[in-house]
Amino acid sequence: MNSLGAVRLVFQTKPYRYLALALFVLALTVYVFTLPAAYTGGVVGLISLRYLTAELLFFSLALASLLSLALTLNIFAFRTSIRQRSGGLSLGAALASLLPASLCCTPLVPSVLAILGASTPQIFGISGRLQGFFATYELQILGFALILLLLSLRLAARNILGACALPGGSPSGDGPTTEEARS
Amino acid sequence: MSRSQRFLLFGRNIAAFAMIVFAAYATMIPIGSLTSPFASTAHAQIQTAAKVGALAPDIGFTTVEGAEYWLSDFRGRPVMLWFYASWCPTCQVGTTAVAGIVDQLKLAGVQIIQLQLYRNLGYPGPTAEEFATQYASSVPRSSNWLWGDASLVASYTYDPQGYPDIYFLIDENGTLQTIDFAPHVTIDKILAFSQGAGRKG
Repeated sequence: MNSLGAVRLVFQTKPYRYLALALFVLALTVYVFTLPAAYTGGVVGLISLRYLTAELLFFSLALASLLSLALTLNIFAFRTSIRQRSGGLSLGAALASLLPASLCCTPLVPSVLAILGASTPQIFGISGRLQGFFATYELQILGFALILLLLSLRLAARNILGACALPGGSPSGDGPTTEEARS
Repeated sequence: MSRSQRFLLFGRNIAAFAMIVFAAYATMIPIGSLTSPFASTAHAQIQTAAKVGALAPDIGFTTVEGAEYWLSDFRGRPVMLWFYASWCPTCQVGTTAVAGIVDQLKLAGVQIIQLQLYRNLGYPGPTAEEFATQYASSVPRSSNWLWGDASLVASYTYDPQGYPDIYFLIDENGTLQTIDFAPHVTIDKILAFSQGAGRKG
């Protein structure tokens, strides 16, 4: 309920609604094209849409929604100089959600191992285990990223409502707006 | 350090690590153009001991039926030698795609040899038999599509970097014509090979 109150508070201002919408569209576009990359060997393009399964579509929508909300709240917090922010957690969760698609079944893992100085026999031994893990637990990792985003949203909401509440006022959004609180 | 600060620090560490990985991904795997279904330059970065234009290294393998072959036994006909890991989503989708064109390949005389990489590259998954049953069930078992397990020598010779999905198109003379991965993405290349475009003489 705190998160909804914070979202309602932030969305009182039209620019933030447009910002959230723009971030949602951008994030959704990125996710629908990159999440199926494990099925295309890392190739990202129109072909990705052919392999967008129901689970991946669900995660694309959920991750895009939460990310856009979390980032909007964090931008609001930044602009209203609220000290504690959870933007790092949001970005970390967002990028972590892209890890399974990018690490499995592409030349990335062998290339990174080579850059890190691993010998060819070492690469041969390690590469498959890493990629196999990410391929097998892809949905669980996406679920974990979803939880991180929910956490980030909750933290951002709590920080906003905590900074906006006045003594005796309700933290659920019945209290004054940000401008009234700052003045 | 408060709990919020610990979470922030954790989030920043994840962000930093993920950004490094994603930056490496972005630089190494070019995004395909909207008009082209795949980015061929990504495939050019595959590293393997087998070289295009050279004779394909001869390897032995055992099929799921227990028959033993050498790659050189198939000299005189074009071969698609395909190494895969059964946990690999690309391999699963690719197998289904190849099953869709197997009749065309059979007509062109192409021999498909699909070998599961040594110990599935160290991660558990279905056996070669189970994989074939699950992803190529529409195709009756025939001599033009052999399934088996690759030895350590074969896996390391053709796939020293441990790519879970990599295939080699070898002409009738035993010369390696093409190295690529994700057959469902590069299916045009396979069809062109079967029609003789990739084979010289």
